[in-house]
Amino acid sequence: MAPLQTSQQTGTPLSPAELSYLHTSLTLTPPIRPDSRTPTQFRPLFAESDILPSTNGSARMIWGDGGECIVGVKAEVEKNSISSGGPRDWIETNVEVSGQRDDDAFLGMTVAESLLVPGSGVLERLVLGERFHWKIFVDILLLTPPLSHPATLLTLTTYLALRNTFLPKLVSEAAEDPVFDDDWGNGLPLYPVDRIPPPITLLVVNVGENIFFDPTREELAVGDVVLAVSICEKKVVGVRTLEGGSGGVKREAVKRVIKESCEVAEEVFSSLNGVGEGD
Amino acid sequence: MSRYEILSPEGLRTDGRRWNEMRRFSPKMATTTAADGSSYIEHGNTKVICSVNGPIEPRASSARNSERATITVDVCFAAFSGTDRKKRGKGDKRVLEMQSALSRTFASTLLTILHPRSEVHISLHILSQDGSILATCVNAATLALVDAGVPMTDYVTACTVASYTNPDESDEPLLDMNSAEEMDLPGITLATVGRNDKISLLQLETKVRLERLEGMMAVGIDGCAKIRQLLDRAVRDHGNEMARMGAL
Amino acid sequence: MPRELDPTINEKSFILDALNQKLRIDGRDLDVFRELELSFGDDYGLADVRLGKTRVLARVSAEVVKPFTDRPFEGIFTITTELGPMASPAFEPGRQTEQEVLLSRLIEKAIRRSNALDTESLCIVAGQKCWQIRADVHFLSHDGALVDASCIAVVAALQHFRRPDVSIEGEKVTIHTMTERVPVPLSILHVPICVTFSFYLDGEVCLVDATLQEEQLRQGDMTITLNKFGELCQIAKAGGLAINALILLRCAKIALVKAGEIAAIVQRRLEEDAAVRVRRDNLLESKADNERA
Repeated sequence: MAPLQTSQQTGTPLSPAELSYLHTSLTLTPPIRPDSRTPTQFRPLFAESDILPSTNGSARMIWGDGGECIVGVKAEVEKNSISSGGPRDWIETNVEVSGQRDDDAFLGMTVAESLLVPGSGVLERLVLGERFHWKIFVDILLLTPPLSHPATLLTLTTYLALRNTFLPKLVSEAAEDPVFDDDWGNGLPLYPVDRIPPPITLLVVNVGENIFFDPTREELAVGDVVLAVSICEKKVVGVRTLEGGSGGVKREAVKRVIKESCEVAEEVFSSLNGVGEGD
Repeated sequence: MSRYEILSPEGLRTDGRRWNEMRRFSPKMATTTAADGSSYIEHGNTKVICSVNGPIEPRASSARNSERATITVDVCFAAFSGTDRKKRGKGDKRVLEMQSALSRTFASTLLTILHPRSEVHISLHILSQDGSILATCVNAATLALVDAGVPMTDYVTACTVASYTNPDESDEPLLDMNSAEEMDLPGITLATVGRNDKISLLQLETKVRLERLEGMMAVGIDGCAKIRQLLDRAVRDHGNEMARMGAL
Repeated sequence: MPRELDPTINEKSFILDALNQKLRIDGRDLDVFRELELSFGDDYGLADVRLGKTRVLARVSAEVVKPFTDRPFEGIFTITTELGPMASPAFEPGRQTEQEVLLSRLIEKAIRRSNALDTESLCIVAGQKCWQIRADVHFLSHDGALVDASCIAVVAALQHFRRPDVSIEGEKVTIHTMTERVPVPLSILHVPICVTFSFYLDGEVCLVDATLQEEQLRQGDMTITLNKFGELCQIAKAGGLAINALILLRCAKIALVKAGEIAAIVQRRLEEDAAVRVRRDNLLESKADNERA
């Protein structure tokens, strides 16, 4: 069934007839996407890391549709007594959207929640002796929001920034006030290569029997269901349906989404890890 | 006196520059496709990203003027831009003052009379602060406005000059302050328009002898001319690149 | 949002034509201030400045507070300004307009950041008690040159103000009332004076102390703050018409002369007021019903 949506509802400039055509072409086997990508192919993106010397880690990413995001990670030493909420407060995430008056609290929470995957061991790495810990501020600046949903852009940039975040090495004893090694070359990575990396969130849209990665705004508009899949290393750690879409989701589709997400994510991880190694 | 020397007896500053040397200045044009015009400037460790939209229909009715275009400026300090993480609210007086100074600087240089009832919106993001921030914002906005094709009379370029007091009480102007120099020395921010070196913006925020102003201004005007050459080269390089790609 | 009424086309061409012939409509020369009237209240720290039709009132008050933790040896000095509808119907109460923010930043930079008031002298017990000096600026009537007038009002009020004397014995701090001990003046390090220039006709003509109408027609402006020692405290030329550097330097030299003149007027009025006070106090003491020790 073709979606009965008008352009007012979807925010795209397409007419119902055009939306219907798009829906049909996406349900074919094999499906045809308007930009002739394969279902798992991403649009071109530009990414760079370690761009800001005043941060512990930073990254910038420009998405195919013009969305641009900069993430800066800063670490500060804090007394254990300050954070009342315990270790869960040790990582603070803020999303600032250019041109908007207030921070986007919902997006910030989404990213923050996914960072605290149990078992990642990141909180243990923030402990500084008995009385102090690192407080990590992840400030996400969305310079131009992408036309499609920003979740993927945000998490990929955050991933890249966190992967390149280094903390100075502690040289003092556990009971003392923390003293650090002056040499940045001895800095310790927040997410070492052999440990569980920060998660990313991929957007997947399901149309009929087919599923598509990195959907455009138009594809999101005709999708049956839009899923945000959070992946950490090789495991899917969360699947959420986003608003939009016009139908339910089949169980087989979810299974396939999860399976293919893992494969796609692996490629994404390996290409992102390549960023910054070249130079 | 401060802990370290701003100017060594050999005439070198903390980062190894001489009195009339600027930090590395690398302008980039058309950095994003999402705005009408955009630019990214790295001046030493000060990094500013700018995007310009316009002339567009005014977003707020207060920005509608039936005789000329209105110029609105948003300046945003990223929370991670300084040494310590600090969030600046939108209502910060210093930010408002910067916005107003930038908007008035460009109001007199853009040919706003050609686009009545419209708005030119300049949005500036400061990603990293190391002195000369207002000056870098002016330069970034100029480049983005050129990229956006907003009609303007000439380049507006800006730089800063500090006034250093030698141990023998004589004074020496230092071109292009970094944040350490900004902290310890009095200095001016100066913006000139075009080749005839007229001054559109002049700011001084710390006490300094009146006699020193002339020397500082002379060095500043030369610095602005130098930056104008660098910006002009960036614009021409970008134009050549566009022509080569067949965009023109 | 209410707006200041723009000058009519006739007024505009008349004023600009006159300026072209180096004439101002109130007959002043281009670089002459309107007559400065300065009077003080019965209390210490109240200064009333009139510059033509512009009238600004500044009141200075003191209070004992805890100093900021990052500056335990310094007192606190704040200046508050609020443009209300009393000065001009174009100002709305409560809402901070851009003009108001710029004005308060300028005064702040001119007086507070140039260290006109020695804040270290306001410390009573380090880290625990200090004086907070507060200058409230009220705008009563707006006819141009608000910055210049309010700067004069604040520096005059600061010099006029007397704070209660304090004595410390060990841990005990006593604040003596005004009648108990002679109140002490604030320690003023220098007297900054703001001079605002308005530019017309592509910088050919620059005026000092522009009236409201002249301000509305100007193409650019610059405020220079300096003291009589020839120290620049602040320059603000935030955009507007681009001006030749030589003209700006000439303005700075004019400003130095003006600052000296104004500071002298303020000084003279302060001395006159002090003389009146001495006479009045003597009169009070010699009254028959005065209790004699």
